[in-house]
Amino acid sequence: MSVTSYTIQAVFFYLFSAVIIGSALMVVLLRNIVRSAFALFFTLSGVAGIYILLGADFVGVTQVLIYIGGVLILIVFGVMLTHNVYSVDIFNKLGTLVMGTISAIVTFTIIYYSVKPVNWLFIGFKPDLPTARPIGTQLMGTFLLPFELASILLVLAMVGAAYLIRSEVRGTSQAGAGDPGNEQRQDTAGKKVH
Amino acid sequence: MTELISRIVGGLNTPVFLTRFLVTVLIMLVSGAIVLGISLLYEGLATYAERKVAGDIQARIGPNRVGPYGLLQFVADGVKLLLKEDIIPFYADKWLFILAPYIVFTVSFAAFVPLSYSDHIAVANLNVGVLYIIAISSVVSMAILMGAWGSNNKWSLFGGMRAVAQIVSYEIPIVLSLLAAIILPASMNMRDIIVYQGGGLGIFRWLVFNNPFTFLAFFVYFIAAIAEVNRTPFDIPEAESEIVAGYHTEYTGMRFAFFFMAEYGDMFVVSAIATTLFLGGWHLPFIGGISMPLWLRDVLQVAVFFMKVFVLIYLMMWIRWTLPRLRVDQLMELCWKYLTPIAFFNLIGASVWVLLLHGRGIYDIIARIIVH
Repeated sequence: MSVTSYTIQAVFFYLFSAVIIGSALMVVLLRNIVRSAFALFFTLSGVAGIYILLGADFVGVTQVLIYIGGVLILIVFGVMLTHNVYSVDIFNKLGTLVMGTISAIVTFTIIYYSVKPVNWLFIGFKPDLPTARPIGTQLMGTFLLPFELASILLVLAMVGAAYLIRSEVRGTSQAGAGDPGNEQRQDTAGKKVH
Repeated sequence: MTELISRIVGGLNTPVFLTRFLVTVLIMLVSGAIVLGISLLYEGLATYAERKVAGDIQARIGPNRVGPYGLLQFVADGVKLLLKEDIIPFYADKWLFILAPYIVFTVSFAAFVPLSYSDHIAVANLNVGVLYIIAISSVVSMAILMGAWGSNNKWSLFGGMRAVAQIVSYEIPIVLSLLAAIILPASMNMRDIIVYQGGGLGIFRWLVFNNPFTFLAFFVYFIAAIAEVNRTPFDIPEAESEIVAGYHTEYTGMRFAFFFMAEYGDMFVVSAIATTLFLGGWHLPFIGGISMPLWLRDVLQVAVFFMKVFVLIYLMMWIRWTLPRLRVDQLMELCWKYLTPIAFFNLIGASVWVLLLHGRGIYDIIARIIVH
């Protein structure tokens, strides 16, 4: 492996880093929170790019599938349902700014000093190495128990969510007889189920 | 091509690093441009084909004025769309409104990258090809939501929410039925999957005929894929009778054309996945064993691949102009109560088949029984 390919890698690394940091700043600083939610798209894509740059193609693609195709959609829906979408005053209290800065610095320091002393195993740049098969065998072999526990947890969460939505529909249909406001709410709750 | 570009760039007397970098970027740009050109030409011709098929089914003639048999209709349409006034609604969220069509189109184009068009022709031979396409297509729902919200229009927002609900739901049967096929070649690389289906007598090694479960999985995948690209009978996100035009109600001119082209691009991609995973990809049926020049073999393979894809696209058009639209609740019922359980059954069945019979196809087994 020659030095030049590392330099090309470095160029793309800084490109992706610029995208990540720039869009992450937009997420934090934009006043329109729907725009912030959509700016997260570029942050998550940049992270996927870094993964792929590191040769972790499976993790990178999964990042796109789960974070952009799933989590981001949920966040956007959540943000759309909030009351005041436009011009949210993000610096409304001095306390949040100060506390935010302190927690950011502390988090950065913790990560920096825990990453720095580690003697990383450097295997070089091997983009064509298939990674899906080793990950699969590890998940189904060595780490079978945690894998299954995680899936049980997810099933429980899904059943719980379904139960909560169902009980909400039942509750409104009993309480909201003859009240036009409640009737409307019942309508929207019914739509959510489908 | 790599060599040619490196020779051109190398002649410019640049440092080694810059040469390597320029070559890398140039290869990316050139291969991207080739695929973009071909996909745009295909998308133009597909709109023409769609109108011709609609004409045939409705006993009309269809476009026949521009060029021979109306073949240049898409060029005229393109010029018309370019010249139209570009309207951005006053109360729209301009950033999101402008950004959304570009992301939708880029994403649908990016899904062309890992496809294996012949034994030696592919833009990138990714090890996670199938997963990459599934992942990149899931970005479409985010971009549709972006445009729907940015339009600041009730119909757009309803259309966008319906589209997202539909795409997210139908991804589950799609992924499960693709998994039922992937466990046989045990690879997500498009080329490996096609190579696995080679040999044997013509079509019998195709994964769709490998066992009953992959046979079912193909149909589950195809139904869910039609829903994934938002076409009739699953075009509830853009149902004209209810919500005008859904998420692209407010878009005009070229911005609308981006959504339109992305739909045809997605049609190609889902058909290409079906061809690759179930229908033997670029393998030449019956004449695969005959020796012939390499270039001829590649040309024939590309032709076979495109022919299979176009048959599936024709099938989608045929379905669109024949069946009525499903209601929202029927749509979700079909996905969650029928397709998803069948897809789970397929996956379990196919896994058991692979475990017990070591991936041998049903024809292999029949042939063995006859020989003994």
